[in-house]
Amino acid sequence: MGSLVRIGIPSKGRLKSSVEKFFRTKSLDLIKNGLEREYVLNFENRTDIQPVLMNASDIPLEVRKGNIDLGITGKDLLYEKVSDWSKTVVEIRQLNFGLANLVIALPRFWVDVNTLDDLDDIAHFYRKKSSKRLKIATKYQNLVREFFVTRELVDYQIVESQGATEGAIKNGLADVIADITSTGETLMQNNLKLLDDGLILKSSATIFANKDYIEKNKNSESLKDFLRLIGSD
Amino acid sequence: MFELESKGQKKNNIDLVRLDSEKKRIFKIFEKSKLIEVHVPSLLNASELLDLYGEDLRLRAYTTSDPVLGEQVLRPDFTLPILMYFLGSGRKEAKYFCLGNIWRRQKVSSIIPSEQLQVGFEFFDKSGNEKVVRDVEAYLLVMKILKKFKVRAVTGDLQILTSAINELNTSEYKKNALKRHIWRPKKFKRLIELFSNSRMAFQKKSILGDFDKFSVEKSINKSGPIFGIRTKRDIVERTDLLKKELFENPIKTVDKSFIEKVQSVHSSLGDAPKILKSISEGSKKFSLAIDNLEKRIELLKAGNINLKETEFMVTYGMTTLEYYDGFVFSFQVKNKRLPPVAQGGRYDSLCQTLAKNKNGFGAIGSMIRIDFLQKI
Repeated sequence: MGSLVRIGIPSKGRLKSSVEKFFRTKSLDLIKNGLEREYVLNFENRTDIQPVLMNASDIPLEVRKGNIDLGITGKDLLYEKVSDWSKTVVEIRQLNFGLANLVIALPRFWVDVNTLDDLDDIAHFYRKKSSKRLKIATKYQNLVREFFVTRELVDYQIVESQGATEGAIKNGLADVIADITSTGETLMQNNLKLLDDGLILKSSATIFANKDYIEKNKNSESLKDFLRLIGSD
Repeated sequence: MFELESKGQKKNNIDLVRLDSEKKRIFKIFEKSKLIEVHVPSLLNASELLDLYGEDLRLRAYTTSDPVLGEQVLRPDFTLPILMYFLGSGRKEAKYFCLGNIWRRQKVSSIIPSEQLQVGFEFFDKSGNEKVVRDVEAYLLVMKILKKFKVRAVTGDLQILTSAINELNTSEYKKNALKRHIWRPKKFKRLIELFSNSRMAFQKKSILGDFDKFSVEKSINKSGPIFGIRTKRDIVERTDLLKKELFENPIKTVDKSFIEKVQSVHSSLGDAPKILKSISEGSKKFSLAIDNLEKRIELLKAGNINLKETEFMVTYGMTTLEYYDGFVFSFQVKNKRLPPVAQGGRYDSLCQTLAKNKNGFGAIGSMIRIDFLQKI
């Protein structure tokens, strides 16, 4: 048997419990041996696979760097954190939980703004009037910037927002937001609406691996067996 | 030969002895042409550049955070720092040059190294007199430096398309929208389609928003609280404007094909005026732009430039060189897979914005990649 296969798993929240449930369906029960708040988990009946509990948004880069071999987290986080993911990471499968969309949202009373072209138009108008750029609050700076480059939008500025982004407009921190939403309920309650063509990414939880690692270990029985197990329904 | 190379950087072998003699040669040329050497900082305040270039800057330049100074950026070119230096000097006109490194992020497939040794020069003139003369002076200066190499030149002139748009028999709103998107070909095309067919716009409900003709205020009231940068009045005003724009003054089919013809002009520099004149049918502003082009060509001819071998494209520089707004040029080494060795152009409106001076302020400049010169 080769060395341990290390897989990064979200350390808390809904994503963590969904991942646990997913493993249970594969007869891979996660058990806790240490203290209640100790971040250590193991698979009950597999010692060749080592789960590693990590912050969901740290998992992509750690897999990219090769500090862990595999990871499970949101696709949004993978694409945002690892800009060269297509060259350094292999996506093994998408999972049917953690479903959410990265979207552009703005005040609902902007009845004249429904497309990116409208947004571009008012951004330009605003810049001419006040010599300021339209501020877009988001946690997903890279994805938003790339999206706007390909859509040829210019008169905007990104402001970082690590959470409670839906409130950023009301609080005067931004003029428009780009955020992740699953049901749209939070956006509704904050009097925001979506653009018709403002869908940046459809996201779900996804299993991925370090590309070099997969190539170097393609003969490892442990890895092959594990991938077979989690890779199919 | 000695070189330190950081991990993962593209190989950019530099022969220091040859480089030194190249530098000396270029310095001599600049001295003879009475250019003054200036030193500008490598680390710049990001907020000023971000305001000018937008978020794209973060994709192209190296930005870095500093809890004391705020976001900083490694200079991605010399143009802006030299311009700032000029504005601070209080002079009315100047000719500057600067030598040093610039840093730009490159795509994985790019043949351009992320750290480059460049020399940049800029001519400023607050009065804006004799722009065509300065254009030619800048061009000939680059040619002098590149004389001993086999280079291919491509030129363009953004004034041609701008003045063609000004000629259109339509509203200022539509003209301004088109001029604003000159640099974004996909969007430009979409806009001209939309503006030339108002009925289509309503069917597609795209681009200018979807609104009910009579009840804008009502639907604002229905859709919840008012907050953020826009007011109810902003929205009503915009919808009124859009309604008007969609119904009135559509761009005529002949005008649309006039613009498309202008856009497609690609010839030798010598033939360009003739071709443009055959399209224009004597319209006023447009012929002024052609006059300027002709004047420039005459002066270039007097400077022994081969007009047959120099290319001309109306749309040249529109996708890559965003702040240029007049004469533009680029030099490529023949038979070598290298990025352009020199690139430059006129950028009056950038200066006018920064100097808050709308009256004529003129500037033209160029960069030369000297670390590539020593390799040829």
